[in-house]
Amino acid sequence: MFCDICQPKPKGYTVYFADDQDAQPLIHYIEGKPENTWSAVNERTFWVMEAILFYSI
Amino acid sequence: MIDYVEAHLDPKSFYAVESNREDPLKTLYKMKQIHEFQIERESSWIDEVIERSQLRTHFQPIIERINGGSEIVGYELLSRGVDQDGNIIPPFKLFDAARVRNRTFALDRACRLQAVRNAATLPTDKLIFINFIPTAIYVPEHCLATTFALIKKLNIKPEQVVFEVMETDEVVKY
Repeated sequence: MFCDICQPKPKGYTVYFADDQDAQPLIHYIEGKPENTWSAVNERTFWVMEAILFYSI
Repeated sequence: MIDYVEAHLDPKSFYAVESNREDPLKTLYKMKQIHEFQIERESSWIDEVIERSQLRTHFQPIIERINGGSEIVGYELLSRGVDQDGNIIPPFKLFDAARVRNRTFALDRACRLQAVRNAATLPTDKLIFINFIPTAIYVPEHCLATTFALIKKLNIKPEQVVFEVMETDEVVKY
């Protein structure tokens, strides 16, 4: 039996794009990633795995 | 994504928070501007160190002075990280990164297990001093169980092993 303390899981993040910015390139970037690494909460809020948030598009 | 936002957009309009996929809105009230995750990103290498046990153990002899002479009575096991180029990562850098990433427990456990593995090569008549962070023992009977199991598996005598509490963390009395 392992818990997150013993075997750390990859982190995930909820990201929110305020509506005063053109977030389309970022949304396209997220949508181009494998489906098991992100999900849409609404049109400006996404859940993504850490690698998507941290690394280059 | 962070680099793109900082280069092409107004970072103050982009927010993020650590969350679970199953309930992505639960931690919404903790949202921070996206650029505040730079420190965490710079420390993310610690996950790989832990996952791959990229750890080396240094054996520091513990010497007893007897009648003007000296004898090695045991070894303190000191953990150091190893980066992808094989360079040593000093402990302060290792544990700083783990603290930023909330991986202190996991790093402490990985160091303990790697130290025990490496200690199996030491003479069986010497003591083995293993440091641990007391606050990293979340559930003692469970968290130390894997360490004891490995000690048994490697045929290290339990009476050889001394767990040494590190003094860097304050333990709250209950």
